[in-house]
Amino acid sequence: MNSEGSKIQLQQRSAGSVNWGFYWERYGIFVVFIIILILISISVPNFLSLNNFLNVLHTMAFVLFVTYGQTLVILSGGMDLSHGSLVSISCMAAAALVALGHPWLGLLAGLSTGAFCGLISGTIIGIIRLNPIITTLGMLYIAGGLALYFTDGKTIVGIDLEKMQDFHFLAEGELLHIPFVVILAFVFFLLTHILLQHTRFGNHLYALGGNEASAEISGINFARMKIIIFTLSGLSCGIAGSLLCARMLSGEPRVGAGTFLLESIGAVVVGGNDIFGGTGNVGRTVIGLMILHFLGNALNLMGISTFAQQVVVGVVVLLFCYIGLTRNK
Amino acid sequence: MESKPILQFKQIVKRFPGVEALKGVDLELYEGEVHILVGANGAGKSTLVKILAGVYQPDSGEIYFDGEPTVIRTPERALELGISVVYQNFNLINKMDVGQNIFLNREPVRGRFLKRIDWNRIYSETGAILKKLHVDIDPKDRIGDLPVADHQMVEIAKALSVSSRVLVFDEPTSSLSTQEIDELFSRILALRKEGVAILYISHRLEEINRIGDRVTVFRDGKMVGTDTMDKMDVDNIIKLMLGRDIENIYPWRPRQLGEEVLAVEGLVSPKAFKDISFKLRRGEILGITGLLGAKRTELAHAIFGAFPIESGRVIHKGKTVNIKSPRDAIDIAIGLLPEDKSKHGMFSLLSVANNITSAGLRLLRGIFGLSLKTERGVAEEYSKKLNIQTPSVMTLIESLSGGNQQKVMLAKSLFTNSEILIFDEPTKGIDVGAKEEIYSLMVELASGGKAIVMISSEIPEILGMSDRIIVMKQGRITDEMSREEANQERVLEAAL
Repeated sequence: MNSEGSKIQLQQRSAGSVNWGFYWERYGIFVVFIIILILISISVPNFLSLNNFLNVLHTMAFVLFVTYGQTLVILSGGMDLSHGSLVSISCMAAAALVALGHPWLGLLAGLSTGAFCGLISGTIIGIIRLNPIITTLGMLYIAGGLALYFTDGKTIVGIDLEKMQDFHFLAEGELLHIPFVVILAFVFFLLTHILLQHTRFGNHLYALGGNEASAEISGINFARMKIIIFTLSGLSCGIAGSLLCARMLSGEPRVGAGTFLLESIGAVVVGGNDIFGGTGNVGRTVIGLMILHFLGNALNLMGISTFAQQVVVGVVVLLFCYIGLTRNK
Repeated sequence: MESKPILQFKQIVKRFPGVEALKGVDLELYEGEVHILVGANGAGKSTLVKILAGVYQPDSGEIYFDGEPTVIRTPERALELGISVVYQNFNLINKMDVGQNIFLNREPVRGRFLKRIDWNRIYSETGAILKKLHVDIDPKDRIGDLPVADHQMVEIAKALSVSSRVLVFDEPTSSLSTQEIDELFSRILALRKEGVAILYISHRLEEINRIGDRVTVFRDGKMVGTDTMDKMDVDNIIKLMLGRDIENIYPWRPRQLGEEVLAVEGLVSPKAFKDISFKLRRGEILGITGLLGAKRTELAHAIFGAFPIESGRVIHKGKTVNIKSPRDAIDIAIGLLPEDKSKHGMFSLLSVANNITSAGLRLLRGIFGLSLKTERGVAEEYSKKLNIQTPSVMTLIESLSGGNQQKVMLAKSLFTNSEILIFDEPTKGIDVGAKEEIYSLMVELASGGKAIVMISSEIPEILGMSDRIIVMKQGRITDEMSREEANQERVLEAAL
């Protein structure tokens, strides 16, 4: 029985030369970002000023939190569509208690409402194994509906600025001329980065995004991972919602309905993370959001209408997807 | 046996929709032995492995680990018990690097307050493990960037780097070179000495004698024989596997060759091959072989219109043809059975019937679009003719064994009335019984006037089946010989 044997093979290995593609893959997005900034600075008159930059960062910071959550979800091979609604419902939960005169309880309520909604999505996805997109689409409706149902669609008002100075400071205060919320966003960026790059949890998250079946065979607990990931994603909305409450000193049930969801996914994509999970990092997401916001700011300064801006943003998202596609080839 | 069984399977039954994969299987595994498990495709070996690894749960029966009844509910639990598995289809994460894969889910950490992954340790230990196996791979290489041949070694390195008590290899050598196989075997023997229980599944019967202590044979979901190696010879094992004797598995017989149906002249494809010329006659089986990197598959795809050609001519029945796409090839009755079925041949999520008719839907035209009745009839006819074993033609092709999938691919080509059939590695990864059937079908088709090109890296198969043999090396033809002139030395010399 020699039919099974004598398979002959030749080993092929690539030679080790300087691989420019490798560096482009890693750092290309930063180069692109810097080039965009320079181009805008040259062509748009009032763009290049510290004040303008801090303003953009200030507005952007609230969205940044949710993009961290979305990064975790997308890198692990899922997608969270419930972000907008979770921001709204968290904002309402926070405002309800703040209006009664308990700012810190309000903050806690905001955070835990977001986290709790995420926990529910995560449990459904992890244990029942429903598709994440469908599950979070359901959550988008449920949380969005609850946020409106709460007050019959009305805004929670009557929060007194005088009594809520400390709470308001979270969103509007400054430390050394830097908006406090920007500093907070930076701290959470570091935490997310460490979580992803330096902990076993982070490594398992990448593994799950890379190949779910292989990750499970290696003994990674699918349900536990999904529950934690979506809870963190919900928590990120809780943070954003609470901070928005602190900024506006009111509870607006439609606050997250606008750009939050689109920007949270858009930032991840524009930053060049793999939309199917497994590769990327939170630094890319931050760059992605910065590109979207600085571009928006430049268009504002040029007096282009917000409607036209949306068209530009769409083109940018597609363009960066295309760049990412060619990079992966 | 001087040692005690670490693992016992008792009357394990596992059912899948439509099939009973395991019909009450018994198996004992001892510490410090290499236990060989053989069986034809679909005998239930891989199902057993998955039960052992906690991926599947048995429908009935018991598993004893260290003499204790044990339920292996999850892969996590299997790993806790010290069971690790090298799977047949790779289970590495392509987007991660070698070190990350090898240490997945057992990453070493450092730091008291925040437990950070010790990446330096991961990469240095990965380097050490690979060096011990004499594998030349950078621990920081991404799996997806490595040639497939290296994946298996990484997978093996991963399993060997865990201190396991039970180590399972599911056909580990199908993509390894001779040196790599030697290396693997010396590792396995060393682990045996340390008292590890090793379950080794293989199709390659000549390997078994080298490392096996005991051998168990599965057939149709049942254990049909088990004994120590010295009491089981290869003939015996094959008889048990197939349930009958086999003499010569190559049914080649002299045939009357007809007129020339295909000629290729000076075919060039910049990145793959150069100056390829050959002729093919009706009733002929032309064998094309060569090492990995000889570009045999690219040539097959080029003739089929699925790989770009820069210059050269393809002459079909005396007329120069311009094949720009597979559609053109099918129209002049050329059929390809690709090497990588799941990528280039099958629609995994469609039924056997859908697959058979997929290349010739225009032949199913009825009054209202496709005639599903005709489709079903055609599929039933072919599955009878080719002896395709499937619960029904409406079964998903995915759930068939490799050999039967290959037969469906053949039916697909026959359905479009192909007169020239290109078989690319027709028996890769299928068992002896199924191979024999494929060979018989090829001879039968050739006798019926089809012209066959058989591309294969298995030299015995090439020698046993071809009327004429072409050897390729790095995109060029280096030798051509008739069946009478051919022998293993001459083929190897031209290939190396």
